[in-house]
Amino acid sequence: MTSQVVVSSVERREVDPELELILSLCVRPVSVAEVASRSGFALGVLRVLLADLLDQGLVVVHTSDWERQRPDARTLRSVLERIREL
Amino acid sequence: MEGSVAQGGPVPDTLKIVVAGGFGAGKTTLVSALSEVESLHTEEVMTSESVGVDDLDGVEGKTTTTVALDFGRITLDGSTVVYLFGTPGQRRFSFMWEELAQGALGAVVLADTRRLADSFDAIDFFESRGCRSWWR
Ligand SMILES: Nc1nc2c(ncn2[C@@H]2O[C@H](COP(=O)(O)OP(=O)(O)O)[C@@H](O)[C@H]2O)c(=O)[nH]1
Ligand SMILES: [Mg+2]
Repeated sequence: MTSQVVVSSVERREVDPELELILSLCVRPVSVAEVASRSGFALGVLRVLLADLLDQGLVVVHTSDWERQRPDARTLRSVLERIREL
Repeated sequence: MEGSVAQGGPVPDTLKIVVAGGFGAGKTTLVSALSEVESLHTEEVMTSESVGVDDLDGVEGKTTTTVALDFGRITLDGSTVVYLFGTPGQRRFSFMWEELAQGALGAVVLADTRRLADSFDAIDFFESRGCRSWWR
């Protein structure tokens, strides 16, 4: 859900309208959850469609470094500071 | 996909914070208040054991329900983005907490003081995952 997807800059081809809609929503890197809510697809459905796009090389998926390791102190501090400002 | 070419500029690092709590505890309100984008709502389709009452015509076992997820975004700077995920607080939604908790910075469990017990499942879950609790 927090993985980010973005349109691949190398591949471009005619796709089904629902896939086209998804591509139009990830022109910039955007989280899977955000694409789900903007497209109106349930997450489970969106995941399947994204897998198709990924197979075709039309999107690139990025997983956050922080899914694998704890954020460093500097990052944590900046999160805390920004949240205090809200 | 290392090495693939993406368009749209550098990909920011993402961090996430989970917001859990019972029905009406204020998850949607909190996520909307903090999000820089108009807060978003998405749904996950799930199959669950039906809860007895709606077994009208003997259809067995499973019902499909959608689970509402609230989603918000806070950009710290161009390179770091925090996602907020609001998720229902009852134990039967814990299959989603597993995924959401993976790599999360932390969780906020909201409680309506008139229905404190609604928050216990989520608190148990996050404590069992090694989160330390601060009560406010
Ligand atoms: N008194 C009080 N009411 C709140 C607060 N946050 C939300 N509410 C109200 O509680 C109700 C449920 O909030 P909502 O965000 O939809 O809850 P959710 O079901 O957890 O998403 C709404 O009527 C809100 O206006 C709060 O901090 N204090
Ligand atoms: Mg809500």
